[in-house]
Amino acid sequence: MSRSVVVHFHPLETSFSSALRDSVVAALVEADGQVPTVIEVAPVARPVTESIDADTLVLVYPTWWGGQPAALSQWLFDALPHLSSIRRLVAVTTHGSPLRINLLQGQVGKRVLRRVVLPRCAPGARADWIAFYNVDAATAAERTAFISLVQRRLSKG
Amino acid sequence: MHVVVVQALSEPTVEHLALAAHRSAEAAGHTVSRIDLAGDRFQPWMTAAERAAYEGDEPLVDPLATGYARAVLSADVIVLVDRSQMSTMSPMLKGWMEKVFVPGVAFVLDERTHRVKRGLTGVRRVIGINVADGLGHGGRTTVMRALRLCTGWRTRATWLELGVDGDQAALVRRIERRMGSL
Repeated sequence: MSRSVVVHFHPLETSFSSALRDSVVAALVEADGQVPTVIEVAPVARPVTESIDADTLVLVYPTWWGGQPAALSQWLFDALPHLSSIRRLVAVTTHGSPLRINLLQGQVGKRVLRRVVLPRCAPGARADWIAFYNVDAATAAERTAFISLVQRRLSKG
Repeated sequence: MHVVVVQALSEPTVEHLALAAHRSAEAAGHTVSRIDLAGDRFQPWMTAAERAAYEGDEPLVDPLATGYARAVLSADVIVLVDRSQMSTMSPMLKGWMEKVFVPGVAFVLDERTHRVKRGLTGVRRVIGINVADGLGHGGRTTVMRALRLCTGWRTRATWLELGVDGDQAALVRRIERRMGSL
């Protein structure tokens, strides 16, 4: 069984989100010793119809309007009945605006993962929230530091 | 006033509530533009071309999104009618926001300060009408808070919800009262 599944959504392959996905994969290879399955959420992607055979699910995406992008939201909805083997749910996400704006918006994305998705995972599953706020104003050094943070958090297992 | 009613889904309950909002606003003498996203076959996923254009001078790529943006920019009242999914708004309505409420429409991003300036300053009222899924209040926080970051805090926001075992006829009466008193 593949230990980890990485689900990524961003329409542009040149995005910072895509760079985060690659960092997540590298960190999981280092931690698990095996390459995770990577799912790119796209309009032509096959919806999830069977149990996800992994114990770690990592979602990598940009937060738009306070929550998951529509495409990822639909993917998650389809996946809800198939998460019973997941023991660790990780969100790696970027926000264009500062944390205070996301708090004002009600932190919809975090709430959906903790209140709706996590309860569908294995009993006792835990959730990790790794978020980069104010990415639109971030320097290259700050982005690099966040990539390092993601790798450290995921390498811990 | 110009009332824009956005119906996210084609299912009977959502359609019935959208129709109630449309007819009661019209009966009160307002001009109504009704947007039926499912009926228009709107594709809510942002494509690579759309995302690439997002930060450029012409962020609207999809002709449907361009028409929707024109409607909301001329709106005094925006009514969003939806059924929640996973406790939040449906992907159809969320995708509509992602593709229509772009820079130059919903907000303007100041390149220097990275601060957001409001774009929908003509909108005086926002009304969310939601069919709940039993997990939460749909797009309530998005409508009541996130959207008002683009319209201004003086914009009145109203949330009308049909609970899982809610009384649809009672909700229609509430919609009629609200639309009649705009």
